[in-house]
Amino acid sequence: MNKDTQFDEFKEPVPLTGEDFKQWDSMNVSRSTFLKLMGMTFAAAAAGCSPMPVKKAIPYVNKPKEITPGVNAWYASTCGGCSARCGLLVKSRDGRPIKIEGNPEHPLSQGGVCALGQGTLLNLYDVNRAQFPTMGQKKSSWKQLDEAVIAGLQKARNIRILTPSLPSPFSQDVVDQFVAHYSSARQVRYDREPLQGLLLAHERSFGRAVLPSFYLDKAKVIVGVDADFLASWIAPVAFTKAYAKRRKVSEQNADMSLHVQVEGRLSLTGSNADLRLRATPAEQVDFLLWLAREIGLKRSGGSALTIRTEAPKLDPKTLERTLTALLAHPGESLLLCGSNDPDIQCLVAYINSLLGNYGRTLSVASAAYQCVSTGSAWNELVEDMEKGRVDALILYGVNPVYDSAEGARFAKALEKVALRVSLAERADESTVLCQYHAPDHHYLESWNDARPQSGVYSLFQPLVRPLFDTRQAQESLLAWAGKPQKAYDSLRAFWQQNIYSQSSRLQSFNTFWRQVVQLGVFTVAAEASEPASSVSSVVASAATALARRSPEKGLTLALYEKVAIRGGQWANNPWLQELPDPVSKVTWDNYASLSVGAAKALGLELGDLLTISTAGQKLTLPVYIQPGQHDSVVAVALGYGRTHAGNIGNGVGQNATPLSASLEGRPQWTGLPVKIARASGKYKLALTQEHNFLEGRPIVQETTLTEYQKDPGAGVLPEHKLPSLWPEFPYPGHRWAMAVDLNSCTGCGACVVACQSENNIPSVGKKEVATNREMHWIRIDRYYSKDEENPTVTHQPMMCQHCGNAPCETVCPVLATVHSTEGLNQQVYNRCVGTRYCANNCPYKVRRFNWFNYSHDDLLANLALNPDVTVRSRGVMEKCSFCVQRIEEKRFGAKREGRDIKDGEIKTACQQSCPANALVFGDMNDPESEVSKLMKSGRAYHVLHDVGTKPSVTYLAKVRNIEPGPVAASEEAHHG
Amino acid sequence: MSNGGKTAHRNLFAKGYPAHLRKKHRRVLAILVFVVLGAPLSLWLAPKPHMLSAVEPSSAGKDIFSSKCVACHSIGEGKKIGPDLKGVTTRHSKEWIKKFVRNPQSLKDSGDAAAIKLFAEFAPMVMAPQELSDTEVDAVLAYIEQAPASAGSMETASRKNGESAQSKEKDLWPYYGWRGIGESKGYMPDQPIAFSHKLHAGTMKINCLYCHFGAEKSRHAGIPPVNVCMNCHQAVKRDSPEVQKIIKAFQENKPIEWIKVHNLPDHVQFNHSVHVNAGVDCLKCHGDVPHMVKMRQAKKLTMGECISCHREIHQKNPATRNQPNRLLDCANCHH
Repeated sequence: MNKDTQFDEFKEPVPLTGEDFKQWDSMNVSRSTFLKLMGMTFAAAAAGCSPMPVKKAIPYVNKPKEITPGVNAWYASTCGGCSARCGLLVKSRDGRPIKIEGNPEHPLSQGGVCALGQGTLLNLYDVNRAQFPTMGQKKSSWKQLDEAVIAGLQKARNIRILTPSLPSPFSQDVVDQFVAHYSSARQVRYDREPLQGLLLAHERSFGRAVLPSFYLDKAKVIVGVDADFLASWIAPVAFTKAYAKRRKVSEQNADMSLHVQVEGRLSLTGSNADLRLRATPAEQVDFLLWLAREIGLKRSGGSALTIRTEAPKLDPKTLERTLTALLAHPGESLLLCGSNDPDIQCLVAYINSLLGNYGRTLSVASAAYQCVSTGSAWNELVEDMEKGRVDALILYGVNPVYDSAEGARFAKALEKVALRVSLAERADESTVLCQYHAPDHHYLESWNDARPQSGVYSLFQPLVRPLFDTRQAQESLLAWAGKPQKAYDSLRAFWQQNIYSQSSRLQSFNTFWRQVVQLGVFTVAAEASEPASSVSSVVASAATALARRSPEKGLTLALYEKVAIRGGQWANNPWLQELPDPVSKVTWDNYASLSVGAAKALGLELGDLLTISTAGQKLTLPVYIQPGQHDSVVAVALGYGRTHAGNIGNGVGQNATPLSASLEGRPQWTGLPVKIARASGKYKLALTQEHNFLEGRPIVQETTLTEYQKDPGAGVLPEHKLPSLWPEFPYPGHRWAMAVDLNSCTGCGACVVACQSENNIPSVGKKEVATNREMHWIRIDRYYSKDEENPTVTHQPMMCQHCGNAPCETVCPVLATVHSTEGLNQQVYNRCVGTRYCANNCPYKVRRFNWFNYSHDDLLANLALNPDVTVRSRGVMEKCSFCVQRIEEKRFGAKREGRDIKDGEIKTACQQSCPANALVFGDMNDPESEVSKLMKSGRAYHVLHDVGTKPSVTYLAKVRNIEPGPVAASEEAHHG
Repeated sequence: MSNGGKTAHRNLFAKGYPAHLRKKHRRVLAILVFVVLGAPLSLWLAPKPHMLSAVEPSSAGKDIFSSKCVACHSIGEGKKIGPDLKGVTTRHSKEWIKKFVRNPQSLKDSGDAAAIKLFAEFAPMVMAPQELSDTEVDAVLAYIEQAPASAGSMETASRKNGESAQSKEKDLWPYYGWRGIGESKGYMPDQPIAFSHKLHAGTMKINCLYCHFGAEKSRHAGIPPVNVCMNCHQAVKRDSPEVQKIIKAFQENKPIEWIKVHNLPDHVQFNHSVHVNAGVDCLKCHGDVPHMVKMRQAKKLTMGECISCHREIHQKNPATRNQPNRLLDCANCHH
């Protein structure tokens, strides 16, 4: 770190070149042209003759009843971002969706929604979506396409329809109808996520091949083994909601869960764990075997496991604490494992069963539906295709050419299929190999339903008329099955027949339907009792099989998904690409993560190129050095390197799927033996945080649970009243404030995308991020402390602190940033002349400068803009406004009703979407408001209090459920 | 820094700078999504009665009359689309009026002589059924009984203090005017249809909110959709060439592309509803619309005008009296 960067907001003294302008400025004016134009304007202004721009105002011919131009309407729907199917409330303005938020009525996601879910809004307005049906890559009409496909299907002898697990009863019904119509048709399920092992283990031990439901809110002890359940595993938003409930501590309830994570790479989940063990996949198996045996001995008098007696080579103190905690909380603990090996999952089921967790913290009776297939049909399908035994294949919701380990093999086999039809929403990697493309709607244009878990049904409803000449996939399938029907009609009929019957039927179907459409969800009580378990009889063979395996020596590869990009389906999205990875803080790329030790041993630095090779595949990626990673693990994110995603997503990062493996149709992401070799060259990664340590400053304050229970103010530095040059400013009305609970925040980044969507924040691209010009108004700082090998991690959301004595305000020469009577630090764009003094004087570094007119040339993407927030132009400073447009909206609403604003009524965008409820906004002048209560908590502190800025944002110190010891930031062992 | 300087100039003179470059994306956006951004208001009528005059007994009646009746009826100013309601209680019983108001057609069909006569007299106009309770009808009748002859007429304070004389002169003002940078007082573009506010809001006394219904609940007052025009022009003046344009638009389902008269800069977030609900007279910002044959921007609509009003108002408003600058916070309008 050089001196300049330490004290300057902006790294480069004269950072603009002609090329920069070309890239961004739609005006594309040279300096001389610019001056000429300026001259003309002066002349025009001097003459007092300024022609008005002619703007048109075009009203409806027939105004729909539910729309009042300029008034937001909210509709309940369901997220199609991943298979977790969270509930959504979508804000629609003048007939177009502009913001995705969580539906608080949804029993699983409970108002939370992740970064990806919110980002999918932008994919609706994506010009790279398929805009019309094609035959042989040429535009066709739906009629022509239907005729050709039906003729092909009628001729075909072996029809296969390849779908994912479809957590949607309606979609599954449509596929069933299609399969029933053609006698030779069969459905084959292909899931890209590695969840099949979990199903197989439960088939063996409970006789049901299902994913169990997990109830993290009921678990006082959570042990995660390579399961990234807060970021990408099964249903991260629902898990985070439940997890955070047990992480909230207060003076009234000074207890929290214990979270132990055993993993090879540093996952987002691991970064939130109280105790974390670095372990290779082989060591993880050892850990589970040891745990099974020890718990077996204590809980059932004798263990079903007789093999392997030695303890795993992991920190014995942590092992001991984990074991003691699990044994102390039977029925209140939960072991989660991300492995796709049925033997390992059998062991996990055995431990959970010994602890009496089934029926309490997890349930087989109430199954989850994100994955319903064991994957075994996949191999058969590919073999059949290779041998020419399939003559028609329909791809529905899958892209195996890109995301299967056997993608290349599948692509080759596809050539032998006579009729190839894709229902994808864009011409993706698999679709371009098909003759027929019947493009699907975006989910915000579709009617559909979802069943994420037993007894939870939610509805998708369209927010906008289809933007392109696309057709919902279900309609296409029904049309080809000889039953052409609108998706709405068939969905409604399906619900009348199948779902309505589960309701109390006290009301007519019409009323029931209207209610469900309005609420977005319908729940019925799930089956109460757990099925009988035979896990102790199957676990012995599983353990024997595991013990017999020779553990991998040397390096292994761990493939994983990032919170925003996940499997890469939505990769053509600048919001998601530009969201920093919560742990590495890298944007716009994937990379090979190496541990600090491994990188040192190989003499590798950040950005050096590294070739990873498996038996048949090679991939060259830049190195990222990840503290906390195991020395013999290389981690690479999936979901990158798309070739047919669109202008934004193509060529971002590299596709690591070919490095993965498929075992009996089950994707294998971890424990893959690899070799690495240094490649020549360097590659620039765009990081948003390059300095990872706190340098002894009490920016993050923390304590341990034991100390907190003794003293609610433990670990928090006392804040004395500081002398001030300024007189006290009175706030007789409201005074807006925010509280951030560091103990709840998992760092997932949902707030960053929420803010970007709400406040029209531009994406700037990799090159600009690399020069520290990203525009996010809220960022999440991630700090490491203590041990670099296995550091303690803290995530700290950082946004404008709306200081009472704001340093930015005093230096602005044009009064473009001034204080409001309600404590807001206001940024007035039209006054700002771009001196950037304010940003230089801001101790929190939260001000963002518009170096360019960031591209708003994409008229379609502009439809996602929020009309209540000004779009900023070049030369203007901007920063978090505490969502002042939302404050005003609620103020006006309250005024119309002749009342005052209620506490909790105003929710900032970041707060609304937070899956952990870590952010609370409100009026600190109201002693009854939630925020003012939190501000009085013993854990409350202000970042950089000693600077005397008097921030309106209060942080609540982090409490770790660990043995008391030196954890204060000032005692860090390491300095970056 | 050279660029810093450039940037500064562009911003200082942003409004005078060729606007088709500066606001390209916003303008196209506005057209694309059929949004009516800060549309011209022709609300002439005095502030919402229930906000202003809690003491006035017939305020509820006045409120209903001016939102539901005034488009077709006058009080003591003669026939409009429907009969003059002056003395209506002497011509019919209250019971009869209530029946008629709630469902005129069924009363006529039941063979009621008075109803048949009215239908014949005002054919082809048919009064739409009104969902009003007994108390509401009573309130309207009370208002009609006590209303002076000039009630429901368009006499307004601004007209009385002589603005109409000026406005005639201003009507002649050209599209280009001598004025400050970015200020466009007097802007009077040609519209696709020669719509006269003088006729509708002045002579016919149609309430502003009847057409610009968004002003009460939205940031936009809005331009009325064609179906609102057709409520009357289904029957009225169908042969006028200008009305024919509306009918054509309606039949062909093609929206009318009005030219926006009142344009605020992109960085101003003005909200009609909060002002209308606070009882701000539409004419305060839009001038003497009931006497404008062609719509024109009557006021400067500069920040100075906003601020001077906000300064006065906080004194009167109990909610802001102890916060002298609350209504002057930048972020009220700039966010």
